[in-house]
Amino acid sequence: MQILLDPKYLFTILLLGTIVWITYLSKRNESASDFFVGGRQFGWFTNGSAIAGDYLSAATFLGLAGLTFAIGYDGAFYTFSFSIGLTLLALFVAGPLRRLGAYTVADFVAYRFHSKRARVIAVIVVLAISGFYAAPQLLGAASILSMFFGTSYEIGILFTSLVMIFYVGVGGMKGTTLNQALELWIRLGAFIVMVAAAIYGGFHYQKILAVISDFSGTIANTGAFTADGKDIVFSGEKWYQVGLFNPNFWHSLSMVIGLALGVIGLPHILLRFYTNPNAKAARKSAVMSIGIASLFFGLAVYLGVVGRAIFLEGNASAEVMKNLVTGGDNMVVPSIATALGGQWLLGFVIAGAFAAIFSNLSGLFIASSGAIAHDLYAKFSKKELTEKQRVRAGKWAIVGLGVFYGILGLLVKTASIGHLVALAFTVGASTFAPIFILGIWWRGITEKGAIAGLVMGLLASLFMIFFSGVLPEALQFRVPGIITVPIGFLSVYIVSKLDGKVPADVNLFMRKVHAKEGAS
Amino acid sequence: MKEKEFVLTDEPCETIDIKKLEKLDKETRFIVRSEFRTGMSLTVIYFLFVLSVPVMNWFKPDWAFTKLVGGMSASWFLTTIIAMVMAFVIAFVHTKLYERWERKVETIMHSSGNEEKKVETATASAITEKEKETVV
Repeated sequence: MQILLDPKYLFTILLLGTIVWITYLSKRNESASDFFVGGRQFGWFTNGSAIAGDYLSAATFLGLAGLTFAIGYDGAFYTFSFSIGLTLLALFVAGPLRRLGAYTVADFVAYRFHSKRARVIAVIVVLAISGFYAAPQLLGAASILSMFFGTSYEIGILFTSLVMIFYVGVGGMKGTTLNQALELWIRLGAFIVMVAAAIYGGFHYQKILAVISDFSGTIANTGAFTADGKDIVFSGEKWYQVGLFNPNFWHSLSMVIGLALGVIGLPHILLRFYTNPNAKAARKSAVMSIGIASLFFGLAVYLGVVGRAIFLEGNASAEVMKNLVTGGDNMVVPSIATALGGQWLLGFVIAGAFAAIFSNLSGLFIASSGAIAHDLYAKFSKKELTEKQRVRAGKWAIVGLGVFYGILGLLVKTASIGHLVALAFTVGASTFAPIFILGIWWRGITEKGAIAGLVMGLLASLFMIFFSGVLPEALQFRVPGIITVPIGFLSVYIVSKLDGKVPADVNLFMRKVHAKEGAS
Repeated sequence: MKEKEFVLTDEPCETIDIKKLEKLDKETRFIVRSEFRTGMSLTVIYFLFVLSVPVMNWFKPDWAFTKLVGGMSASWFLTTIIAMVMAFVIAFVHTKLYERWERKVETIMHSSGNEEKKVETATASAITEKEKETVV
């Protein structure tokens, strides 16, 4: 009973209880449409909330404020780059994608070119992106459980995987969407309360920016927590300007390209537009999610600046100062919460962090289970599967993914969350973004061109992330979009031009995805 | 115009040389072009803003990071406040423009008597109106 009086346990148990309740209420998934796209019944408000919930992962909830705290303006610029992609998605992809009326991301590629080969390659890319995205989410969940609840890293991974298998396996897309929508408002609520507490405490944006930028010297009360026992030296001027993360203009540009176009290639975000009843609702969902995400990004930067101001004052409790010195970027938001609102606000923020992780992971689970059960098993099975068999295949795929992602989570114990997420964005920007943009708007794209784009985009991204060390320094980028995205687009364009053989029904496809609903 | 529908299948279909491909029908061509034009115009406006931020930061840093109000410089203001508003406004304007265009087409559709040619007539009228606007 005593444990329930601890806010972090109380809020976490409330969150888990709500997930179980929503999942139980939405457990009836009789058809594949129910399971994979929630029966295409979600209006713009619910789906807009769920898209934002899908997009604003642990890396966003904990990471962006942490980055702004650590690297100042470059952290804010990172956030700015993240904010661009959803708008491009709304402008060029959301409506046409919904009009196609498919189930999965690979469906688009397969139907557009009438190609099973393209479907298989698209599935590989979906699994690659989802794997790189899911591993850091599990890492984040296990770290939070370890830091605040004292569990081991391995138990944290096991617990999160089991919650996800239940959550997505039982609830399908219906339960996932409703849970994601609710979880979005929990974490947004946590940020709003934190910002309100900061303003109430006198941390006004332009005022604290001035204090930070004018600061130069050592930060009081930090020496007790550093390895050499000396207070940390800080230059406000450097923090306030560009250069702490991106060393030159080209790195900034590469970040914009990679992160902005990366959103268009994220399978769990693309999939969400299939759950709307029509293209109009899909567009409105996109606008709604952009509004929420923009507000969220703005608040994240603000909180990063507030964290830096609290740290420079040096008056926070020893626990907060210790966490800000030794806890890394991901401990900044929980530390600010403790400093501003004590254990109750910390409890709310921990629930928000879990909400972010569960929400994002569930989107990845449902996208990948569709890729395995619908795109591989159902499409390549020799016999015609019934709706129930397809749903059952989806559920087994989720169990398999729980194990697979769990193993990946164990392998990345010491990796950087931000780096892995950036990798997922880079792969998405270089593979699916060219295929979706050109596939929707250009009749000249061919099957060979699409396959070349997917393969070259994937290989180029993996090379730039893992082996870019062999290249000259000028070609090494933290977010290598400036190199990999043109490779993806040019591969599609050049091979399509050389091939020249487009599907004979491409005009019907254009009519299907562009004409007003009911017209085709 | 509506003889065939696109079939959602990944069974192989015939291919055709792009040079021999028929033009899109008038209606679809109009829709694709107008939709793309709207999206592209907004993207150009948006990206002029987006790219101006790193250009300003790296090539005019003195100006970009000069404090204007309190500790707020042009760059901090554009990156952390205006950018977030812009992302939403661009998408919102796009949706509104598209809905207005759709309503226009729908109104003309309802006034048309011939069921078979509803969409075709509607789009043709919309095209004519667009052409008139261009002439004006």
